[in-house]
Amino acid sequence: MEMSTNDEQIENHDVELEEVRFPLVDIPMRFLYAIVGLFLWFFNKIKSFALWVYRQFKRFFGFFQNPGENSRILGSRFMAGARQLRREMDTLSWVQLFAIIVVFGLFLIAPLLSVVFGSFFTESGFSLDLIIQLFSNPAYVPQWEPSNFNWIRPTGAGNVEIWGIDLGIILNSVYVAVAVTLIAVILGTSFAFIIARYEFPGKGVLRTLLLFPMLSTPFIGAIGIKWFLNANGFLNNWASAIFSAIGLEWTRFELHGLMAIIIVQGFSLFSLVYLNAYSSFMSIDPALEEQAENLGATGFKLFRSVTLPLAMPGIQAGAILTFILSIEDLGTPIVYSEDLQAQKVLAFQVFDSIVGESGSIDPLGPAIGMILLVFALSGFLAIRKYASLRSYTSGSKGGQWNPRTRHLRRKTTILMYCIVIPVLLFALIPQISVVLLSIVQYRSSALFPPLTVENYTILLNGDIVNAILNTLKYAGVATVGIVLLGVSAAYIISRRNIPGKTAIDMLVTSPIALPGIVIATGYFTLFYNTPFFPMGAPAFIITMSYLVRKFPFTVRAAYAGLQQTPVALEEASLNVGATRNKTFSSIVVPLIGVSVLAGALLSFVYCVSEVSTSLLLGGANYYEAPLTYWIRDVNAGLPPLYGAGPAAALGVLMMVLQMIVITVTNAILKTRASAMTGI
Amino acid sequence: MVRITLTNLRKTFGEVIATDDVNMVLEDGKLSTLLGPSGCGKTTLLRLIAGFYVPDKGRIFFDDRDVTDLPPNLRNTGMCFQSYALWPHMTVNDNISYGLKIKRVQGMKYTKSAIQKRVNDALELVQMTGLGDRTPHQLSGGQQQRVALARALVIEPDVLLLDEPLSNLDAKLRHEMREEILRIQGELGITTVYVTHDQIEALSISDMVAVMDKGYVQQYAPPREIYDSPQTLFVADFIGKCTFLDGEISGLGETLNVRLPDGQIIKGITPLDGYPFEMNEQVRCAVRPEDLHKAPTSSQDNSISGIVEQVIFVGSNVEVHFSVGDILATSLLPPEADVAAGSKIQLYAPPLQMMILPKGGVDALRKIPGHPLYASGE
Repeated sequence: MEMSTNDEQIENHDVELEEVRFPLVDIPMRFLYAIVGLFLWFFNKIKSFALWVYRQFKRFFGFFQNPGENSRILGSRFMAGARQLRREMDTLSWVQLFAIIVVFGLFLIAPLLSVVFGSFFTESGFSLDLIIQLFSNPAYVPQWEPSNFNWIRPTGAGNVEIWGIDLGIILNSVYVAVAVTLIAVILGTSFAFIIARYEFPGKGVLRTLLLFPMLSTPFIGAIGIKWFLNANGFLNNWASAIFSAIGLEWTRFELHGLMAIIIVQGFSLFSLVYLNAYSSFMSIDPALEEQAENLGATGFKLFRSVTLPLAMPGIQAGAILTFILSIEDLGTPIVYSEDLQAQKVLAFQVFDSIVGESGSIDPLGPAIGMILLVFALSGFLAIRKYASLRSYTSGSKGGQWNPRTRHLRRKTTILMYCIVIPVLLFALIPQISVVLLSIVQYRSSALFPPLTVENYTILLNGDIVNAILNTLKYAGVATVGIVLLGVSAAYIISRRNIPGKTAIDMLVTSPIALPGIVIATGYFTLFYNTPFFPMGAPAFIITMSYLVRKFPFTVRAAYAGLQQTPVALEEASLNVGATRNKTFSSIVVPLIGVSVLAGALLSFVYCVSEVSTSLLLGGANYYEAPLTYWIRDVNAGLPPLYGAGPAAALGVLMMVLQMIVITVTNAILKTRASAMTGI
Repeated sequence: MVRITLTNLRKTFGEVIATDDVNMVLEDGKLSTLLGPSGCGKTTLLRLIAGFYVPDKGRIFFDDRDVTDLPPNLRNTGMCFQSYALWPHMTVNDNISYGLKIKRVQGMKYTKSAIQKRVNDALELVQMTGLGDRTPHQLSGGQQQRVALARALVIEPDVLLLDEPLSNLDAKLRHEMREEILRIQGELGITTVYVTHDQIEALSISDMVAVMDKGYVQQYAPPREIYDSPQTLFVADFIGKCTFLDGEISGLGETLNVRLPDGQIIKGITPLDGYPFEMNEQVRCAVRPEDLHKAPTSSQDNSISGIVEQVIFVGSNVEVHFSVGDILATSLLPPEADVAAGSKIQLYAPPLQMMILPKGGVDALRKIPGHPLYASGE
């Protein structure tokens, strides 16, 4: 009976049904479509951006077509805005807002503007000389010779050196960043999905381990990687030993130049994508996926059609952040700067143009900095777009839910660990190697190198103690400022409906994307030899640079806390007669206190490990320079007192501090851990 | 205790008009309900009274005091939020005493013992004595609701504002809390504004009901009047059940004649006093299920015939669904009525129970001289 109705249905719908087929030809075809689609998507993006620019221009010039009417409209809008402001703001808010605008205006906007100015104005007035000079320099513009593509270079000693491809400084920076982003997205998304959707023994440990790559600065990690992956380094020694034990021969390899930068950055920055993707996966309403399963989608189909699109905004935001941080990273190119190729990136060129102690700047510096700024700003705008989209992952109502997790079978768990452990080991090379480097004897290449604690005597060195104290002082003061201003900013952004709110939001979160070297360049061009930055006394300006640059972490954490606190709790307080200030102090602050603490810890630890402004500004007087400056100095110096070993010891010190902080903040923020990346 | 007067209120959010043309007087000591489907603007109106929104247009008076520009903390209203909004970092005692600690009477504050006494009184009022040291998450939904109520009442507000206070409770508890709120409101005699989307709740507890839809107050009247004489089709449909028959006016007078498309003439009256009906105007006749009888009560009765589609036994009655042409009509008959699906049925409706309403909803109300909405658009 049932069969027959079924048959009948098929009969009836004969025209509407077709057989399920998947010919093999489809695979290359789909691949082709995907590539074509990618290009179309890319051009569409460019087109829509151009259209947007055009519309803005049209709006701007449209104003002059009917100046009377339009200024009246503008005037009334302005009045409405002013009224709105008066109603929403009280004395405390005014003080908070004013302080934020002054600090960011002076120490972020002004220096950046001075960099832009510096690249267009020379002593003789406005000119495009610097830009032209830059683009006519063959080192900068795209260029390729056959020899450049020769990226695997055997050496005389039978080793293999792996190099990057030199395409000119600007293109180098871009393609390195793209490659880094690709590595980060693949690693980060895979790890995030595994952690977010599966239950297996050891998950807690894996979760914590995955956070480590983020918080150790690439600067210190790079020192370790360089030593670890050296032709006579730890990895090659062990691999060669293992290979010869089973009768094979291992070709020792070494990473050099741009390739080294790609690998080091890729494995340090992937946790940015990981954290953002993880938060996105966790905030997907399980009902959305269950509905898809209910309609018949499972496995990869489910992932591709529902899970991934919903998590996409978070992944994209993390990816763009990775791109920006890669392009502006200064630590890695410095560590590899012995290879001339590694110097051929934008960040290093800016650094190179400033001769620290004298404060004199090669006029080309600001011009290169401006190119960096353009990349960073467009990246930041894109992040804003995606991060704001992220809200749709948590858009559905229904209160608390338990995220979907599935228990892995034992066999699958083992299989997963077989893949995860090697990848994770590779990802943790910076951390492992820094620890190893700090406890082995100088230049030992033995399989089991003799251990020593000698390197740690660097901690007793007067200069270093002084530098550590400096760092703690600067970071401490900056963090206090960050908390005071950051909570204010988050509160105004999330709770006060004032005109220009978005602009304030952009202003206080943009430092996450703005290259530190460009800001530092701005400090030199604008403030050098003024009360803010007296000659040879960078303490104040370093503190301010920390405050401004590490601000987003606290703002984001506080904002996340506010978003989780229903506004009704504050309204209930107003309703029973409390003023806004009273409500702020007795309801808001206690409720978001923990989130703020997490944010403040993050800001502090990022201040401590800040590289680019520390290096540039610290150069003005190294007795006032922070620890990161000295790590570089120690690394560049000669053993036994200085050198890589003692530098690694300092790195371990920093890592211990960082690990404490991430473990604490991760416990506090839980699934909101993407706040740790500042977006 | 105050009388709340709303005049010409309008609130928009960007392009969306949340509420418009609101003119109402909420009498001193009475319980008035704002009733409507979600998105009708009832919560917006409540929040305008509480001061969380500032109207784009219009004024709000507490007695003769204009409070339109007064911030919420100076209005002396007690509000219960839908989510209760109990502060999770404070105990029940702290939650309730919070407002008292802030309150100033002629520049002076309450002593500690006065505060404790009032908190205890409030806890007693909501029957929560002895639970003051708990934190909100140690309380059940109903208990949280009571604490929220106590917190709102303890400051002796002029107005009590309740935003869907029972929507998070289960059916039994809802009934219990409804009685509770009614008791407390009666004891204190406080002017109360109650927001709900549940018509039974609204009809059973209110002195006055304002039915809202699409941002407009469709009707503001005592519950009986709302049910017996709905002023718009929306009200007729939203409150209770109704069968609607489309037609056009074929005779004016004390009773109106309406010609249905099939030529039948239906006699009825309009609950909308003063609306200027015209000949041939498209109208809609509405009749309640319980007003359709098996036998005529007088020779004037309209007779309606159709085919029975479905008979549902609902306990005290049987609900008969039958089709009149394309229209599905509903009638509530005594359980002994003998009807079967598929059979023909003939029912009678007295003209006094046949309500004739103009189409056009709120716009029709604007044509009635003396109505709060009359020509207010112009």
